[in-house]
Amino acid sequence: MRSFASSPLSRRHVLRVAGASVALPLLDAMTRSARAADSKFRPWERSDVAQPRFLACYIPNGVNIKEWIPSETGPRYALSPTLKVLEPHRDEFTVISGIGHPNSQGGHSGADTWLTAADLQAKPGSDYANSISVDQHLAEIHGKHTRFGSLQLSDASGTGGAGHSHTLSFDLNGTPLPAENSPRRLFERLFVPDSAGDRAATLRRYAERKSILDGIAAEAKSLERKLGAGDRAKLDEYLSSVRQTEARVERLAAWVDRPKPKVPPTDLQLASKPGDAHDRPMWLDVMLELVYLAFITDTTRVITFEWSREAGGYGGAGENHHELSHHGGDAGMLSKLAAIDRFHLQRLGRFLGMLTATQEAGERMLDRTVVLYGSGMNSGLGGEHSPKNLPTILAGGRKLGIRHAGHLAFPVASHPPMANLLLTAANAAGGELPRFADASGTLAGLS
Amino acid sequence: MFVNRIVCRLAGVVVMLGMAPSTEAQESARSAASAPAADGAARALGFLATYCGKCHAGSEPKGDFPITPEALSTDFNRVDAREKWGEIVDVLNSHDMPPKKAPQPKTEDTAAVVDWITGRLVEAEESARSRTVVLRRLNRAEYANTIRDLIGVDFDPSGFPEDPAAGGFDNNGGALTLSPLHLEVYLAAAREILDRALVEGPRPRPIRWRFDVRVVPLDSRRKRIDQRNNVLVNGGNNVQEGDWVRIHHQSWDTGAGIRDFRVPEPGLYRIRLELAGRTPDRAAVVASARAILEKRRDDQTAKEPKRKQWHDRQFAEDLRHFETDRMYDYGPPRAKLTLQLGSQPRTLAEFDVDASPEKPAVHEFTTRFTTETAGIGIEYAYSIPKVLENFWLQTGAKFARPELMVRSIEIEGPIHDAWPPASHRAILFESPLARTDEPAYARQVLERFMRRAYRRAVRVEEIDAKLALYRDARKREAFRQAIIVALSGVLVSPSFLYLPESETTPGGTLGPDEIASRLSYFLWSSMPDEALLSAAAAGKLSTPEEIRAQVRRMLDDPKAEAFTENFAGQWLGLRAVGTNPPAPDLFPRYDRHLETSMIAEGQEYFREFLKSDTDVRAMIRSDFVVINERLARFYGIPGVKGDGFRRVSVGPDSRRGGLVTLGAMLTTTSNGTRTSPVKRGTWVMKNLLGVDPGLPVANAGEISPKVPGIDKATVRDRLELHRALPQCARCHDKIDPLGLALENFNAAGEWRDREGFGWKGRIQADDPLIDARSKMPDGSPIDGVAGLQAALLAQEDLFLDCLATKLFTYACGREMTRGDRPAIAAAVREMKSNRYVLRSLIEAAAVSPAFLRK
Repeated sequence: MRSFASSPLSRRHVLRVAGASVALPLLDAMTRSARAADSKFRPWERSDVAQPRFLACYIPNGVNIKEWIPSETGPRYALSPTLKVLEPHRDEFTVISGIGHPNSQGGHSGADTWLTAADLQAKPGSDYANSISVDQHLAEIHGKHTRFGSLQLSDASGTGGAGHSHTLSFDLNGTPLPAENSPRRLFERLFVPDSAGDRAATLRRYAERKSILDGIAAEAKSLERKLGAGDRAKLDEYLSSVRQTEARVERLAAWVDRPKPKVPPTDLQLASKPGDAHDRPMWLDVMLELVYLAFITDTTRVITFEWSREAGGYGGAGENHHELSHHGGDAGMLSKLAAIDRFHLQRLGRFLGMLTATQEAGERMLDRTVVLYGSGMNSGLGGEHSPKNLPTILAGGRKLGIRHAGHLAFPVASHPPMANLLLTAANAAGGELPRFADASGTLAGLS
Repeated sequence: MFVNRIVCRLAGVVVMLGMAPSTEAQESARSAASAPAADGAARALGFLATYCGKCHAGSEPKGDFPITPEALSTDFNRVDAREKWGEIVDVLNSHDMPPKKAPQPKTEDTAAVVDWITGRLVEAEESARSRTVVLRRLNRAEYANTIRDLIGVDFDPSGFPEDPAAGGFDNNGGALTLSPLHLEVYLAAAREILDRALVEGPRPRPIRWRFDVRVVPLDSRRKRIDQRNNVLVNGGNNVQEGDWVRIHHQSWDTGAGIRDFRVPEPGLYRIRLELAGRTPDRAAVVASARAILEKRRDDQTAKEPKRKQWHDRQFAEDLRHFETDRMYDYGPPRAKLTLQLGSQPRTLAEFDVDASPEKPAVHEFTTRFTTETAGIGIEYAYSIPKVLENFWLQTGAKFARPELMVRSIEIEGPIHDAWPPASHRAILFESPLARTDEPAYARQVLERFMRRAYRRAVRVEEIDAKLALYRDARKREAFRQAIIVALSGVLVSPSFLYLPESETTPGGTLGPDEIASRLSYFLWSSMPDEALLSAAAAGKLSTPEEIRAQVRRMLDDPKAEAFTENFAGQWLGLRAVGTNPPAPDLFPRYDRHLETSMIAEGQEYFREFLKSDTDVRAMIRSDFVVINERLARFYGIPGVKGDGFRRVSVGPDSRRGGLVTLGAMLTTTSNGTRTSPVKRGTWVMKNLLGVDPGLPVANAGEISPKVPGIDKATVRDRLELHRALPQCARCHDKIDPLGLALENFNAAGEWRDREGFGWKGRIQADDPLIDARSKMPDGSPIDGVAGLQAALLAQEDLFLDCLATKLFTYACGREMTRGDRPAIAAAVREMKSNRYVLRSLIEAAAVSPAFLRK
């Protein structure tokens, strides 16, 4: 349940006492609570994996674009006020401006197509046709070697509705893949041994699952004949899940002699709640720690993480992130937005720091990890919810062929599709994709 | 793009509110569905080019809504094309466009174009029917209820992925997708459920452990139960009074409880708590406060004699607070029961303890234990708002407040109704075959189970397939294990997880089994019972009368509770209560007990209409509320005692009665720190008038925190500044007034006469009075909540249509289209002729073509 503990500093209090509408020290309040609950988790010294990995982090509602986009371009650019937070990592990432998905409808459907580049033809809140997200191509390739093909994380569980997706990942049929939001459940899935007794019993269990699923496929076929076209499409979704689960069970059977990695839950704040403003910093941190652990144990190499769903999010100190993004150019609201942006980048910076601190085959873990960070929406100079000029960062991946370029700026009027960046990132992470969605090629300037 | 959507929808509402009801126009338009198509398109595009082309074309079309042949696809099979045409129809119908100063089309020309478009829309919707998804996956609640009724096991589905909602409800077939993760959780759940349902071996020996709670130094007292369990028994940092531990207030060290034990068997256990309490009356509160305040006054005066006058004044002011504030009309003490299994503590219940130590109460709870290390905790949970006058004294031992008393904790279990339990016997029933012919018995078991699980007659091949699973597993495993494999196969089958409806006659009516399932998932969120299944099998669901009889029977069944919970819970947005709660420092009266009471109030209020056949128009304004003591204290309604909900008559002075006065509605449409007339207006439009004003336009901006030149700018002042912008005004002129009429309710849902600008939002004498005068979209003036309610009542047809549309959406598990309008209108007519009662609407929906056709 929610905690009613009062915040360290009542913003309203300050406002009343001062009697003025000054930009309030939102960031201070947020960092204070973040500091008070600082995670005790420390990165490991060494990683034995040395495989390419891919992480996509989505932030909702865009950013304060004025304070985000650096005024200079090229490798020697001066960091913008917001990006200053990432100063310690400035050589490890490229900030890309000007790009967007030409097919995106804008508004609040940014997360739905951020990694798919699809034209949704959507009626908000109803069904739509999406297409495969770039991470799922990677999952196909890397999934053969890891216990989990990919992971979907979000601050709301499930898939969310069309146009308000809770997940960034969509399978080959464009079906959304539900996300996990509970650190505890995620931890259990990744690191707690399945309690099926001995090896023989476990294998027997898998064999039974497999035969159950086999039987179902036949059953569904006979059902299919009786259904209308729309229902048949729905049943296809089911059948494709059956097939994928079968494949997964087979994979698990192959993994039976390799126990889940031993990861102690100590120092992980697994009880942090995603829907709790107070827990927000801890929750982001622990989810990113679990991402780190999933990578370093090679439990998976592909993760998407929607930090908040579009039109949601936490503003800290009682503020509403989404409302702030309709700022209409208001200076006070913009400065609060920038504070949220810095808060998010602090979380990202901490994660990049962990990857930097861990040695891996003579390099750093970050050098084989591609991290895409950004939003599918640009709240713009006036609070417009535009799908153009999306705030985007690509970090890591030096050993995978990515050459960081500082600030890589494209003209908004004639930018290459963002799918080019997705293709570049995916191929660096071992994708071997000849093409993706509406990409016209890889993104110039990163290799 | 959003800008025009809102404009159009709102334009629609103006007409509806101000001039003509819209349903007729739409129905008459249906008849034009077969008008010749090709030149119709040309005529429509020509018309639009003439009257709209001037502004809605070029590089910067007005409202970002181009009306050109390039921008408007005449392929009505495209959802997005239909959306745009729909908006055009709404605007033309509303006479909102073209603008007054532009050349106006002839009425009959407009009508012809509107008819043509509407005809195409309806046609496209009809032809899209077979492509409309009606194959519904069970959502989480439906899954859990179905398992309960099918197997007799209480299953908690909260670990399943959350189900998305569409059209306001989470039972929409199109939106309910399925992924490998779902299948994985279904497989795991099936095994867990069956493992619990089917037992083996002798009945586990039950335990019954009793612990007397005592005040002792923390963790200094243990009770040895057996070899394995030496249980820590804590009374917390409290006062021992005879057998009783008396808890004065909540603090980190005042909880009582037992921990560090493990039950021998997993399963259901009963927890029994012997509890009592004391509830001081107002006189006792004032007396205790007086004593404390006097001491403070005297101490301060002794220290600073010069300021005596000031200390005296403060004493009098503070004492008045204790004499007058409603928060000291205490209810009985409250307790919170927590269970810790492994590392995660979980709240099992929060409840009033209305009993004296002379006549204590035994509270019983049933919960599932694993064999992990466990703990049970009892905490004090009565919240007294911390405000300036009392925050320093209310946790002092001498302050009179409800006190919770604890004597003992008992655990008993595992509980089984019998051995083997009913869940076991229902599946593995007694049969001579069980001993003589195991394969034949397995077939019988599956046959019975599958008929219920698939909610229809089952074909031999289907049984054979599951039997093969059994046979294969039986080679290696015992009977129970093998049958569990086969039954798991049933529980992950599409025939169980979905509600398949076969397309034997395209667009035709559903089969009897399918109708039975539609009815049961509509009214019970669960599978059909035996009576419904056999009615279907006997062909007794074929006439409206037979279906109506079933509906009446089903509504009287306790399982119909699920309808109130899921329909009303989602329609009224009760699931959103608490997601952005009022900030505790600004609204200290809002606590956990109030929050759960507000959610319950929404449910109970709706249930009252169902139960007592109250005229649904009273949902707009009723002369009663359905509340408990906590809400009564919050709303200022005297004479309500106890935590149970009951109908209480109220007069206009109470300012309560009706959906727009529900605490749940008022808090969920606020921002935590202040009210949001925009959200409230939107809520009224969406949920009472059936109009979705859409999302804010791009580039509009939030309301600014301060208005230049006004020192105490009210929410209303700031909103007015926002509406000065023409792009905002177009929509907000229609949305905001509906919300502004509710400005007398603050962000926590409490009545106020002034907007507070004092310390922590307190109201000071010179703070601005609330101005709740407003206008309906048609310009007629209204004043405050009463005015809003009167205006809404004057537009009752809109409300009835909105309620019916929501009900149909929920009942059918899909969004309503123009093609469904006649069925909805007919259901409303039936309800009107039946004293406007909800049951009548539900019955009418259940026999309507929208519900009985695929």
